[in-house]
Amino acid sequence: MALRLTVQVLLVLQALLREPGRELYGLELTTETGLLPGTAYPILLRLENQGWVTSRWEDVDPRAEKRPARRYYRLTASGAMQASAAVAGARRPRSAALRGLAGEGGMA
Amino acid sequence: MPRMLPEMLRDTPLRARQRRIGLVSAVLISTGIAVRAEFFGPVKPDAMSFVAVASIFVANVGIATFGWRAHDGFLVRPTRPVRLRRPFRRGQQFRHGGEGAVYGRGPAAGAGSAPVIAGRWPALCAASRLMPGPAGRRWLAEAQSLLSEVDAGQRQAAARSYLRSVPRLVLMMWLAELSRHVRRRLR
Repeated sequence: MALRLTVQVLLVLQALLREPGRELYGLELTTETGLLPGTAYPILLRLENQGWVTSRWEDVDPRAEKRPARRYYRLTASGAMQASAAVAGARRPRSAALRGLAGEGGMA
Repeated sequence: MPRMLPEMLRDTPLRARQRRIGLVSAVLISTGIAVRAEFFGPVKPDAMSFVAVASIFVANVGIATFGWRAHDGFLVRPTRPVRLRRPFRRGQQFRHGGEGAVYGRGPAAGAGSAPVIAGRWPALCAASRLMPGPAGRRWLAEAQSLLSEVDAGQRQAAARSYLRSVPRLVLMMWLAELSRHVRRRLR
């Protein structure tokens, strides 16, 4: 099933695309996107099912760190390309609309 | 032709009995809805009816494909007993999978195992049991991991947001599990 590119999905993709090689965990993602964790999790799950994102558990000793292990997410190589295209595609109509408004004198 | 049928559709005495129970439940519920509609007007689609229909769907999928059984009026999942090295104490929150873990490891949970077991957030623990085993454990572990790090002021809002996403996630995860199961059987 094709992925629906809602605003929330695009926010998650943008956050992951900022540094494509970098891994982000749930709290970082919610902080960067402003989404609630209950919204971000299903999105990440869908992106992972589609093969855009891969994830892993952090390999730490929770007792030593005094916190549970985090789950890290990062874009796959193909996911990064698809995500860039998706984000660019979502930006294009908006900038075209803004240019249109500017042409009509709406952006004075 | 019978060889082509997936194993989940073949009748064993236990499955035939479970299917009978499921069928009788479905007939009783449908009759109840019909009687209610007859006397009190049509049933409006609201959150409660969605939850009821989703529960019936999940229960039937569980009975038909995952061997759930009726026990004392509840549907239960066959489980393996787990031996604890020492009694689980309150405040002792995080454990890795293995002999001493309350939950085991699951390959479907993704890379690595879901490491968190906690006595806290009982609502999240209960919600995770509505999801397929490994996926539910992963969700719970991730939720507890985030909730342990989020600011105290935002913790309740984050937990509520996790709980609000449960119905959608349960449906999504069971559908994925079912399609995976069917694909595996048909292969």
